[in-house]
Amino acid sequence: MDLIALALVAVAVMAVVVLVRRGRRPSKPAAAPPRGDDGVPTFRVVTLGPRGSGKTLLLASMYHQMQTWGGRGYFLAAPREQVALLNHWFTEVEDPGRDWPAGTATADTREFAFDVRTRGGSGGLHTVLKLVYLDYAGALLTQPPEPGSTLWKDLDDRIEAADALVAVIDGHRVRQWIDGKREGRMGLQHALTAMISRMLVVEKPVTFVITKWDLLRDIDVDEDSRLRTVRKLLMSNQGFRDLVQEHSGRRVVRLVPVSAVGPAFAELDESGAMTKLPDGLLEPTNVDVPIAAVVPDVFEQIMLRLDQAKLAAEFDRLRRQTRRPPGEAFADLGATLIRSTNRVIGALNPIYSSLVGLAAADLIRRQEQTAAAHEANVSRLLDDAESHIEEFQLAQRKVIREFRSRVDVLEGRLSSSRLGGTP
Amino acid sequence: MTATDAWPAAVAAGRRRDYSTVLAPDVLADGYGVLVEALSPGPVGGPPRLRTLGGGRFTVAYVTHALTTADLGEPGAPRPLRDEQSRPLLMMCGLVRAGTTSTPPRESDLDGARRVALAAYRHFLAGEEAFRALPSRAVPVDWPGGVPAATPARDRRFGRAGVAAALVVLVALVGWFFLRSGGETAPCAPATAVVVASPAPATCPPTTGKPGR
Repeated sequence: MDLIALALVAVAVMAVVVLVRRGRRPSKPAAAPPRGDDGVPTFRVVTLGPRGSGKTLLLASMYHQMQTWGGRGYFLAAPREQVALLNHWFTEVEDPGRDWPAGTATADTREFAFDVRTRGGSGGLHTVLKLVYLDYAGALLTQPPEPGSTLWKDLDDRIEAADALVAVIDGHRVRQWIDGKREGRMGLQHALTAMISRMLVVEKPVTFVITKWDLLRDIDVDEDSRLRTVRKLLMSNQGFRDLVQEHSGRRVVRLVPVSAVGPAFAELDESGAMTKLPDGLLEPTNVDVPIAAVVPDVFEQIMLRLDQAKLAAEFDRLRRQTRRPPGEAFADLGATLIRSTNRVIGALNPIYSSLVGLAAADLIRRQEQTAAAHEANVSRLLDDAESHIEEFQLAQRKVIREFRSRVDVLEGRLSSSRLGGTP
Repeated sequence: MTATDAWPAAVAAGRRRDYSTVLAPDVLADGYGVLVEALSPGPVGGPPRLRTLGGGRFTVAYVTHALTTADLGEPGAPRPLRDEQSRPLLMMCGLVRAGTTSTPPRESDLDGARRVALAAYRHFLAGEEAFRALPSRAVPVDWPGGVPAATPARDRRFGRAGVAAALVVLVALVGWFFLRSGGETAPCAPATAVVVASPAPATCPPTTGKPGR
């Protein structure tokens, strides 16, 4: 009888332990955003911008332009429901008979996931990178949170987790400021303060995008002069100046003028309202640059943070290791670089290592273009590598080079667009 | 007729200020931010949308309304109200009730809520920067449904632990009884005795004393 009682007690205690442990088991965490799943690196972009600055329109226009090849070696693909939404927004803008789309509601905060796709040597399509882009209401950036709301904190977390930031400057406000209107200066100062206070605490590459560039087409004689004028204006803001001057050695900072509709689609009427022209021509300008800049800028920032002597030693090691499979050598280099910068780019997944190694090789080659002997060595090394690296890696590299080239073209055309992190 | 209490509520964009809660139930005074995070614009003039708030404690039914000069009482043909970026201004307005339901309220009740919301919106537009959501009082409406919210997982966990604890106590008492008495049955305690004061065998009829907390 005693044994039965003891057994009963033991069973009961075990039952309690099991039940309580099951109850304490942490609930399944919210689905973590994909990061390097299925071997494809994911880059997260958060666009900061106040209400009405053109974040959503930039996104819709960017996708519209990049969803097809359009002379590039890659295109963007998105889930069907997101494609439908982006195309709906773009159609609303494109149709001169329809009103402008209403602003993004706070409840409509959502992430868009883009696959960067390209064709490999065998003709097959590969997803070589993923870009995750956050669209949200500007209120989350500039307005105080309402009691009980949680999205404000959520935005801060997403900024912290981002690989790159895009800061949207409303070209309409710039225009108002240049025209001497108080609301332009105040609106812009308020927006810059809100954005920069968040950007100063996270060292990510930043692309400042001036939207509605078409509204500034008459402020100076040519595009680079116009950009210089706007840059000078922005530098009068203490926070902006600090970000550019204090951080220019450690982070990539760009200034990119864009227009989601182009110069011949809409204009400001006498009351200051933006009206679509009845026979306006939609010609988006530079809308692909902010996205194209993300990947090269992330890599370039890694390079900025590196001990250059260590990098040179690593690269020499790579040069000596021509007997190793080049893919392996690049992955090894990339892993070393990631380890070297881990305190800065701690979020980088090891899956990036091969990609970082390839990007490092590309950057080294760019830096050494003036040294003919080195150039020959590097080119031979890269050519050797290209003949061995698997098709996927080649496709990945091709896209990264195209991204880089798109940014280089803009920098070549508009020298004022580079604000910090000069290579 | 299914009469219940519901509170008018509204979220809208201003000329300068982004989407903000304009009118919120007085019972949500400390947490009305859930409205602006839940109400997403639908088609203007479309059917009511339903959203649950606070983990199912409340349901909001709302419609999307394109604001015009007529809503501000301005004379002449109605013209769309616009923000500083020339975009049309929208308001999501409707009713909030306790519990969950998949049935919207009557259209006339939603119309009544819209009138209250528009009055609040005029206050909002008159002073956007310093505006805080106005509280709304409950009104009787015809709105079927209202299933109470499901027990939160935390409560269920504690419930499970409680059952387990009771099981342990029961088994321990049985075991203790067999170990102590060697199989002899002790006399039953009086019906009014408190259990802890006079241990009684499990086979005794239940006592009537109030359980201690």
